[in-house]
Amino acid sequence: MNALEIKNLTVDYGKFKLDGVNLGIKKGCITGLIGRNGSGKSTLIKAIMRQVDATGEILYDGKRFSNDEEGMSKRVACVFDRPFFSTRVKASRVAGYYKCAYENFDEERYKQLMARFELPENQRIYRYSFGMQRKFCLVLELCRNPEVLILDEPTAGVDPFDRQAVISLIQEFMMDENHTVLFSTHITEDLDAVADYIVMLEKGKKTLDSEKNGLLESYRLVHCPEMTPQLEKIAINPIKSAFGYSFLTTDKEISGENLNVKTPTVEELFLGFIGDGSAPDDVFGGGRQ
Amino acid sequence: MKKQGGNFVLKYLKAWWLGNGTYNRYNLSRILLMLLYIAAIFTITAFVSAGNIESDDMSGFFVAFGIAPGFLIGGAMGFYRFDKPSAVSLVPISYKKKCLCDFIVMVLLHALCVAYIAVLMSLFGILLPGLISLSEGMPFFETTGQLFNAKYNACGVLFYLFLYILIFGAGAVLSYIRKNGFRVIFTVVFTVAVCLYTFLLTGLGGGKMPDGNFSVNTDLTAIAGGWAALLVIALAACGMLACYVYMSLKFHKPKNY
Repeated sequence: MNALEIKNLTVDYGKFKLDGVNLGIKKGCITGLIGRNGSGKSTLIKAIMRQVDATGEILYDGKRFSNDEEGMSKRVACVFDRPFFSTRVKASRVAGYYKCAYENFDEERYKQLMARFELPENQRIYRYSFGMQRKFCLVLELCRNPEVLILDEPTAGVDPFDRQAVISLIQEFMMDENHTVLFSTHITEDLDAVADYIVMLEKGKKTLDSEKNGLLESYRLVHCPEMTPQLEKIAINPIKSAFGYSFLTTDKEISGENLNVKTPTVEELFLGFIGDGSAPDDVFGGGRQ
Repeated sequence: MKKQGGNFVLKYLKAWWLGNGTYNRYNLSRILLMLLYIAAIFTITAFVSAGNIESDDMSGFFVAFGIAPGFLIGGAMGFYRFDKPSAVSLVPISYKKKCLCDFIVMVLLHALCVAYIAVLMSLFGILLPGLISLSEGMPFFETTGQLFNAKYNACGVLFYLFLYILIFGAGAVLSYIRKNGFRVIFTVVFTVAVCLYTFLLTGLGGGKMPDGNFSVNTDLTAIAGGWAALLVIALAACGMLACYVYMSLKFHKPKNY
């Protein structure tokens, strides 16, 4: 069952267009959203949160958002790419707003998480580092106990230690099977760790939408010193480097001398699809619908 | 888990303060503080100087200068624009409640500005005589040239109100022309322009020609009378508020997707 159903979503900025995106975010799963800078990830997230003018349809649990605006905005939480509140105020004041705005705000958990991430409550937010601001936003949204959590690069600027802590938090959130996460990131290692589904956007269009493990298993990453005509036939977007060639292939039985074959990671898959930047618009013929 | 939450007005106000009120991108709070600071300086200067000036013609200059910050805040509010994502756009209350709160906040802010202007005018002793003469239907500028030194006619009250709306409108138009480009530089340019405008008008209004007549203001006598001008002001104020309702609805009303 889909927690969020996105149908033919189009956002037209003039210079950029998110073009007719169809997407189902599975309930109880973590969906990773990947794509290059300017591919439309943040725009998609803003459209889901109804923060940009768009056409199409977004259903939450099968219902339109406008049917229960107040309830929906409490059940769907989002950590945007930057804080949507002033950074001139103290963290405790922002928490005060959350306490007032959200009946379910868990103050005890808030204090625990602030201590866990070593975020001083009586400090103005602009004095936090970028990574600390990201963590603070995540803590606030988690403590209001939403059902769907949308994250726009939550681990950007966060050190590896805290990144692991953020991932653990997301995993803790997912202990409840009714919870759902949509997770946009450039740090694809995070998706290796937690994602169930992978969605890729390229130039405002969805080019991939697949279950992660199945997707990774259906490809092989091949490194070879030379490209032969046989390899060229099965190679997807081969990339040439000083050490030879690397490419993705759907031929799982591929083997041979001088061939280094392995199952790709999400990052390798992403790079393999993009290739040298001249990859076709839709490597999967429109993706899973 | 302790149950949290407040009523929708409180939620909105807290969100407004965290978002529009203090959002570092727009610096509204800092602009307001700066203007209040300037207002305080102008007011003190006006009082101190007015006590030393014997000429009645000059007092209008200081009144105008003293109340200019009230106009400037009005102009800055014309710049006010809705933005997404923001604390206000994400506050979990229905769009009708958001619109209502938007409206209340805007009306209150305007009321504060006008109250500031009115208090200063009453301190200089021109509000009450102005209102009395207005209620008696006295025409504008009965005495040619007494634009700001309007102790005994209605022009002071009406002119200031009209100027307030004009300045707000100019702010709004500039903001609209710039579309999404609210820039602090515009506020600064606008503030300087308004100061110059007020200064020039006041200076010209107080400037006597060698033959004893004033040099300007003859064009403004075309306004028939106090009541007609008041009607124009009331209509402009209603238009201003209607614009807020429209903008607020346009911004908050859920999109049909």
